[in-house]
Amino acid sequence: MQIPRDALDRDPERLVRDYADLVLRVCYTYLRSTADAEDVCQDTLVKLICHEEPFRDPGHERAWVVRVAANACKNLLRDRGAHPEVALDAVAEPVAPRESGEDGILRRDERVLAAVMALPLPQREAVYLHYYEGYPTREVARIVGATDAAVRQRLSRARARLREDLKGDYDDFPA
Amino acid sequence: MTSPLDSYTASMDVLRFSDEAKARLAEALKEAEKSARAAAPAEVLTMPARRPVRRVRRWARVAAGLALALALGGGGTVAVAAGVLPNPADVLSDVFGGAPSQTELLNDVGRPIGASATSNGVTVTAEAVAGDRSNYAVAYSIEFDDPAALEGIEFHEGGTLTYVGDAFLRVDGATSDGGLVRLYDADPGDNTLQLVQVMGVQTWNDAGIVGRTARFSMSKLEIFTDEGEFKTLAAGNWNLKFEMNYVDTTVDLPAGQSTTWLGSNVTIDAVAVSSLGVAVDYTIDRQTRDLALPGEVSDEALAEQAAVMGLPVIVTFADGATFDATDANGSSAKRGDGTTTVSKATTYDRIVAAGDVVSVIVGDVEIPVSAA
Repeated sequence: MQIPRDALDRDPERLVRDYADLVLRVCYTYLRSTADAEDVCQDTLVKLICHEEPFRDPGHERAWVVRVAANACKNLLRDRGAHPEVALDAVAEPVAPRESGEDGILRRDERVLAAVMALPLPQREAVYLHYYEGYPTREVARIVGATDAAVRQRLSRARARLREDLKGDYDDFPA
Repeated sequence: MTSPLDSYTASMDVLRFSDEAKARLAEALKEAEKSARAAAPAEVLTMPARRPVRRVRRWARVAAGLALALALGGGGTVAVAAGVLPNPADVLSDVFGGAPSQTELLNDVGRPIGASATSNGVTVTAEAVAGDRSNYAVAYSIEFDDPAALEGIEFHEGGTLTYVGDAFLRVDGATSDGGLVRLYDADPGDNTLQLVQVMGVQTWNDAGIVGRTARFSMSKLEIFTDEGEFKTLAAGNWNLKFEMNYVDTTVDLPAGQSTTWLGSNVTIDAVAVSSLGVAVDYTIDRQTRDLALPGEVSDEALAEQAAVMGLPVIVTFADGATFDATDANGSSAKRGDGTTTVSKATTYDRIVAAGDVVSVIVGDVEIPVSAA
């Protein structure tokens, strides 16, 4: 295994600074838990350090990190399914840590987050990548290995379900 | 009023690692970086610049590829293996189960005729058989009478599904080396899924399996969903049997080349490729010491094993894609002269036309298939 050298340095401090929280959010989105986030983050960034092909630009590198972390989470889900002794319902339902804020706003935020996290995984990942990470649907499709049309359909279904779950308390997610 | 998007982003924004966790991660990464540098100093790495790029999922093309081969076949012939004596147990079982379906041979691909079973509205049919000296692939169609049976299923890229099931194929007089099964939907417009089994196989006298009877059984077809749940697509009782009939696509490549691996001299003894897999035999001027302690394998022992077994093997296909067979199933034997003979063999993650394998790189030696 060679350590690649390209335009983007692979300094561990820089990688943790740029990507650790990103991987944490990917883990939470896929696993509904942050319990394995540190392990997934370490595995993902070690792979990044050892990745031999240069990245075109920081965006290319970032999308690679998202994809590798997402795949690691999917593998964890499969492992749990293949080894039933780790019961899926034993995975703790997480609550995102809160720093401060008005109680009413926090309750609304928690309700929205709970509604998003209750979506099926394909819709959940599409919502996260499109609405939070800001990837256009075509790029989301490339990251998750689906067609652009499939991603748009997932987002459409997600919005419909959120609209129903949130009962019109809020404005819709932008289409 | 706060929009739901604002609420969602606000909730995600506060998901952060603590400073302590980030410090731990940075330290762990620094250690990993040091280990990676120590494990492979550039001056002894003989791997060529060409590296495997990615494994492309092509299982959705398997049915199309096999179907194309079938379509190209001009006329059907039935091949019968000569010199293969039937196992008495096979003869007896055929008395009770009826004769196996004959397998028509079109080009290099066998097409079982009438090998089909229906249970609970689902029909499983053995559609095509391909193989080489030590591996076979069988493609089945799984047709659902209920047109709505596949609605609502989330497929992966290329129409694949994460297969979980108990489909089993036994070839009379042969033992399986293990393999893989892929489930996918080649045509979203129909009510049919495709199942492909690729298996390594051995016979006691290396006679091969062409002409032998294959027996398929399955009682459930399940997938593992992205939501982490098992989903049963079909349950029932499917049993069918057919003749393993195909043209062995194995091509033996020129051998005898010399190279080095991590400072040791290597002689390439044999290289064979086919539409399904690759096999490489080599002799390396090195032996491992017995460093394994009970119940554990030390890093030192793993490094020694890699210095003998880790010779890179890369297969390049006509479309430029590559398959890394470095970590293929391998066996080794120490010889009295201080060398070790190593055999590696594996199936690809795809099935290709026999002519679509361009070359095999063993260590830093590229062996073009055209040289065979």
